[in-house]
Amino acid sequence: MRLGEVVREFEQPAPNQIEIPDEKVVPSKPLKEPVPA
Amino acid sequence: MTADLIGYRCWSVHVGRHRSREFVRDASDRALGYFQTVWRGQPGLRLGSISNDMLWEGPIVHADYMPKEMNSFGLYALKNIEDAKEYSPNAAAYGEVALFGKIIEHENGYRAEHALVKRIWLRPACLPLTPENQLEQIAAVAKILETRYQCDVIVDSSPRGAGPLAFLLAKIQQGNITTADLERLAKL
Repeated sequence: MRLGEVVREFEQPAPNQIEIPDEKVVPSKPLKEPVPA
Repeated sequence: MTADLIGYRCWSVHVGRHRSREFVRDASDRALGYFQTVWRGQPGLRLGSISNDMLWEGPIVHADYMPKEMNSFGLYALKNIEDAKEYSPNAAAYGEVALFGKIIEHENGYRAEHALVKRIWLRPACLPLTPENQLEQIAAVAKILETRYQCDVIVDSSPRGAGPLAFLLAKIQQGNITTADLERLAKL
């Protein structure tokens, strides 16, 4: 999708009706790689 | 209270199971460094991105990586709904999304960290329907998408919503087809 030149970057707050789960803290599935002792 | 940042985009309507890309693993479950496409869960109807294989699982979706000025990541949306409709005349759906988190604004649209599906319009002629009972199938598709995305789903009954070929036939019947219409037809 061609969006053209960048104009600016900014932070937009979430719409009021939703809460965003923190997916970086709670992985959606367990890690499969074994952790070395 | 900040007003929602609204963008517009189009989607395919995907029928099937959840599709994801996962690492190929050896017998000892060690990742081998390349991906394969896998399908999981029950079949369902989902919106899919047009230009990649991403499926929109629910009303809120997240970009794989943080959009930045100097990369091309993020969830794409256009500022103008007419541009979204024109972007892919064969797309089975187009609609409105609220964008939030980190936003990169461009001249014609945005790249966003998160998006919330707000409203969907269906193009009946572009849906994967069987020939019988099409009205019932369209109603069922609308209901399923409404439940999955928790938003209004509207059936676009305009000539354009009936699909690009029907739109052109209508223009031919009205006697006002243009060279731009024919060029658009050649691109399909």
